[in-house]
Amino acid sequence: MNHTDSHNPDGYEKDEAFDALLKPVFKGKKLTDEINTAEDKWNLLPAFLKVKGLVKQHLDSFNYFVDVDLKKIIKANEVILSDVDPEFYLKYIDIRVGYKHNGNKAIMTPPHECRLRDMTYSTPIFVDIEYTRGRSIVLHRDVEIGRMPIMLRSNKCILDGAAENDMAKLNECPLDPGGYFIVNGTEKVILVQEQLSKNRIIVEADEKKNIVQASVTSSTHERKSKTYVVTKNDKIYLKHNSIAEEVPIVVVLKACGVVSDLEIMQLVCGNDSSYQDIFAVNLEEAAELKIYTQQQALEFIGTKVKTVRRQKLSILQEGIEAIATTVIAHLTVEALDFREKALYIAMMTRRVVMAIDNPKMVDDRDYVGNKRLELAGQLMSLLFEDLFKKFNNDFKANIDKVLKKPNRAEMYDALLTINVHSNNITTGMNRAISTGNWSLKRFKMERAGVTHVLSRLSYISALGMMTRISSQFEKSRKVSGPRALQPSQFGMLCTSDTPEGEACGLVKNLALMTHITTDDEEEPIKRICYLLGVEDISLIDSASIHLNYGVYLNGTIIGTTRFPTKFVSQFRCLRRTGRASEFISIYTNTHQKAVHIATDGGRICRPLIIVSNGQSSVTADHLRSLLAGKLQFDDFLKLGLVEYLDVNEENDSFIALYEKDLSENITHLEIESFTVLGAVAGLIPYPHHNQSPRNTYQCAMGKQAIGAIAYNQFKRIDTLLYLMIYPQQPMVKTKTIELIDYDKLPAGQNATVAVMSYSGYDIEDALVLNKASIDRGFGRCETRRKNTTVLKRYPNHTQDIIGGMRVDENGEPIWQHQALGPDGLGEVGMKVESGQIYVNKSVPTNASDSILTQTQAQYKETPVVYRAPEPSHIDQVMMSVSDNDQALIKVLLRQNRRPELGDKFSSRHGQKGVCGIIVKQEDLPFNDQGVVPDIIMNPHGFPSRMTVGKMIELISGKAGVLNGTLEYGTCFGGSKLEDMSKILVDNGFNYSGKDMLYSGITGECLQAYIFFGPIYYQKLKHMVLDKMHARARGPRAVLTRQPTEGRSRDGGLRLGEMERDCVIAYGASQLLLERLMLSSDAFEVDVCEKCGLMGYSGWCTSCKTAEHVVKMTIPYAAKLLFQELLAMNIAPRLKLGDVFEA
Amino acid sequence: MSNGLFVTDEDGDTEMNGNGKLDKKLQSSEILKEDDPVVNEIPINLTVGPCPLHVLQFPNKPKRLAKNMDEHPPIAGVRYKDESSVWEIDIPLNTQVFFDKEKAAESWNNVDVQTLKGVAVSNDMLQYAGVMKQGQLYLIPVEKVAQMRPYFRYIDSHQQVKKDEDAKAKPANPTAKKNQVITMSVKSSSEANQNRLGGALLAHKVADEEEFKPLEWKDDTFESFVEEVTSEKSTVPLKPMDNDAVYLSKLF
Repeated sequence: MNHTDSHNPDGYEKDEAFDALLKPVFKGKKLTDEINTAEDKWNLLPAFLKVKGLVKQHLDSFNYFVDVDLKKIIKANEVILSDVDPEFYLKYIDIRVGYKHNGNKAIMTPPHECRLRDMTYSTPIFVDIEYTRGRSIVLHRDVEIGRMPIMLRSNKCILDGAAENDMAKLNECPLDPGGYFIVNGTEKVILVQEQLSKNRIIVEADEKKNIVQASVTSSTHERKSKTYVVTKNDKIYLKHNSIAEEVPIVVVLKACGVVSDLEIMQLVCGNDSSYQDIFAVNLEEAAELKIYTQQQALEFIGTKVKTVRRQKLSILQEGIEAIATTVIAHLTVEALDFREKALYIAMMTRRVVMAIDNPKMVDDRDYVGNKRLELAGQLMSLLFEDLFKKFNNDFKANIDKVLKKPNRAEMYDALLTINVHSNNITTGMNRAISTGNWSLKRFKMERAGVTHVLSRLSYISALGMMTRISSQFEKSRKVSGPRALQPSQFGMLCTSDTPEGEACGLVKNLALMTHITTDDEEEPIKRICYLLGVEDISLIDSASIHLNYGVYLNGTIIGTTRFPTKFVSQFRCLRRTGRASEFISIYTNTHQKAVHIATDGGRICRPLIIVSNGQSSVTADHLRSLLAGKLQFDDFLKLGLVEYLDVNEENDSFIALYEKDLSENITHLEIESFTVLGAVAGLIPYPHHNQSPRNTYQCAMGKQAIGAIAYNQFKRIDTLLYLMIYPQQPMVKTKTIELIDYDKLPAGQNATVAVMSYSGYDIEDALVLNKASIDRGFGRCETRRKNTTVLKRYPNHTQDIIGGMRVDENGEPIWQHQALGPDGLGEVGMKVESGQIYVNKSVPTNASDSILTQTQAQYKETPVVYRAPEPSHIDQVMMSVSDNDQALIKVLLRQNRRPELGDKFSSRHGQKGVCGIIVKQEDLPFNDQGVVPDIIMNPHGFPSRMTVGKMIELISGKAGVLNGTLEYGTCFGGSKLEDMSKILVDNGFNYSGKDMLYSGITGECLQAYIFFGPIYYQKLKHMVLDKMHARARGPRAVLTRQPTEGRSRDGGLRLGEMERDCVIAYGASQLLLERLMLSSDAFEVDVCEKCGLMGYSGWCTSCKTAEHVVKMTIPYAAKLLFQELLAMNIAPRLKLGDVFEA
Repeated sequence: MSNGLFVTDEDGDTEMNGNGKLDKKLQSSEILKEDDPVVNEIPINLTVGPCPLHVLQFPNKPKRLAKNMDEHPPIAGVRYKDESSVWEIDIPLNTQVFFDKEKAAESWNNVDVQTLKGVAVSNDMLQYAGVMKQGQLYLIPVEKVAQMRPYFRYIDSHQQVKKDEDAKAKPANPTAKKNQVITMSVKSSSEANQNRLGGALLAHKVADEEEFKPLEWKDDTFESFVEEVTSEKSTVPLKPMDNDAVYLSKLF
């Protein structure tokens, strides 16, 4: 609770990340410039991102897992006992990841080497063990029980705290956010999962069916279960999966020890007469069942339990067990007193009664405050605990096996066998991360698709993936609620960034300035509450519980308070002074008369400036110290200037957007309004001027833009990489662009655009491209494709080899081997054409022979042949050894591509288009200065799309060009259009951005002023070269003898059902015949006119004659059908007749 | 550039009403703070009672009984289980009114007392019972708190009798031999000893097997108790070690 590290402003060490801020001119501001809180409070945002980063949630969660959660897991499973020897025990004392007890760090293979060599980036897990060896107790330190995959840039990663030059030495990109794992050489991300919050009551009502239910999903380390309190025929029952039928709620409460009807009524209804009227029936029901005592009630429940147990329990014991551990499993009762449980069930019942009384008192499942995000750390911890339990079981079985032997010769040392099982943990973790299949035995849970390969299409796509949140909802269900934009996601989840189509609204992205909490201790918070005057719930009599406000800690009532407002404000005061963790949320719910405190993990929260008496706590002085590096973001928290609010607490506050809106009521001030958007949507200039779906489209397209992906992009050997040759940072930036360093790794170029019609090849959003611009490098990109070859070793000591090159009579290499070097591998820089070989591998023919009968090894050539329509160049060749000692060869093939007809481009406003025509520069229009556009865009793109932001981008960009500045198009801010127009006018241009253009063909000036200026254009990964496909003849499928499908198999182009319908409608029967049979699977069969069955070679097998056999052509598929029908005892007989009668 | 080319932003939204519900309460509490002068200073003594103090709560007693000691029903017997901290109290019933003697005689073994039962929960919150005497406050730490609720032993035992009769009526199952539980002195672990009871079940088993310790209920001992508790011997006067400023600085 105590933050011990006090701050010394003078002895402050120099912070490199703030260097840029300390330069005389930073982002257009001089150090001596006046500081304006309203304008400059946004500087808190870079300060926040510096400590938190965009993927901090992943790192925090992983750090929490390796540092805290692992120790808890060890503690929960610390002892291994033997069933055989009562003297034996083994106890885990401590667990550490990556370092030994003396603090020595284990040596790790650097991440980039793991990527290249297809290895797993991991570090050993060490445990300290105390156990009995013979008579003595031994303590053994630093026993390795397996290897843990390490999240990049977590505190166990070697990149943690590394400076830029250290990163460069390790071939890492300093801008790479980390937060992913490297398993077998591939980068894997564990996506954030969104779930309904655990251990909280959710009340729902179905007004049509007249059902109200309160449900709670209990989740502990041991088990997961769901308990319901439901209405049925206006009576209230408790429902649970392991209890056969619904139990009347009064019986349950009596089983919990609340036997008096009066007390039940007090617990559930308090003294509210309308609640009492609703609830009274339930008391009668218990009386009808003749259940009066606790024992009767427990036995009643005991008879209904349907759990299968190894151990036989009496009915009463079953009842006790059901109430104590099964129902509301997260409150496990260890002793005699069930009051805590009775209270919880009574509270659930009360919520149901309240919802019956007032149907508005229900909860919203889609409300972000009722959601929790599950991160990598939590998922890893579930997995690790499962594997660790299995490890312990195996270990114990092994120990028992040895100890069972009656007369052992020597003293048994349990540790000698521990290493046998350590592989289980390592492979278990690796397999789960690399396949994405999370299978947990103890929850009987199977989850697929938890991990994804990190998309390295562009820097933004990687970043976008790290902030992505996937929902547990099925995509097929047709409910709109979970997909809809929730008002409560303001500032927490990006309002624009969601995919279109089936996953729309289910996959979300974090906003720019968010934090996801990790679990916090409950106990100290409880103490704080009691110290602040909360009356302990266990001492309060049932009659007075509902008189005051209840105080709930993580959904469980811990007491009541008479002065909720005072209590809440005092608690907040403690939090602001750092006495309680800053991520604990507290809020009042007046409808439920409750104060809720949350310490659990997975809540999204965001920082806001605290406002008191209409004054912002953050003053110009603070900002000055921030800029001077004397204060950090965390200091703002400690000083109580800024605090984190989660969604629930946000709803209990008045938050002003701007400083001018501050008044007495306001409790908080937004740091920056553009943080409602996420990292990806933050690229859009002037998004607040666009029609909203356009921003969503851009979020999808920004991830497909080709650009620079990382500083180490040329050192990477990825399966497929697209890189832009001359990327530029946009003329119109946003603050987000600077914060996420998009300006350092951009994906696009500033094109001079003329919005006009030209040549007619610009319909349907097609673009006209300037040939000279392309020659100068506009839109030029390269693709880099990897090929991996493994040289296998075989059991009989033979192995794959690389042959040299073959030469012709002149000593020149033959054409296929032209790209090879003398070592049989492609030479770097050589061009490979289709059909040429770049790895000349040979495989032994006798690999399966045994070693004994071995003769001279025979080899068969299995070269790697390049097959593609366009040649490539060999960019890199790498030879190394992977984890399993087999030689690994990776060849990187590069292709340089200039834009061509059909390549896809898009601006940053969801305006995509393909290149329709490439025009010589001399034919294009030009303005007074002789500037010729790079792109001509058809004005019809604007009216229906309403992307006004694009127009403003053009004007700001043009002003920036004239002024020599980079302009800002930040959301809800940015350079003002008026100022931009002023710059245009000052430079002799029209305020509206329109220029007079002259036709390049006639030289005459155009009859209209043309909207003309720079717009940032992205080249998207969809290129004609990868997609164009045609076939005259080619391969056919074996079964049907029809042409194969798909470009990759050189397949035919399908004439589908609808196309067929058209041909029928035209009556073009011969075309139909040709397309459907002759060009596809025409087959000549022998048909017997007598029996109507098919024969062969002019012979009818059923008639045993050749007399009536005639030849005819039918589709092979038809022949197949007839034969399949015959196989199932149906004889299709063909009756032939002449089309043209004689 | 205000040449009317561009529409300027509309003025901000109208201000919300200045009397939010939240604020009113805040203000009132602030006023309270200011108008809350110190009336009296009371010395505090921490005392160690002659025996551990248990607080028994009676949630089913009517509120109006509280002040008037005479109207509280007399207590016939008290029992306590030490290990499981279970209290039982017998209160004689008025068998003259609202009492079905026949039914009591028939199946309830002539019951004439109401039994209250409660599990004492140890008082983690460090609560104290206070006694004011001669302008001084004496605090006695409360060890355990129990809530006393009705316990209908006669119903349960009647049902047990019925059940036994039913079981006798049925032919006894000869294969069902009584299992003997052999306990070993090995440290228990959830994994190794699957057949051991745990948690609440164990607690119930222990409580069922434990014998009640009969205690005597004594009324009218309050005065002497107060005397004993407030004696010089057993009290430690509490004195502040620091002044207000130091205390406050420690808090914040």
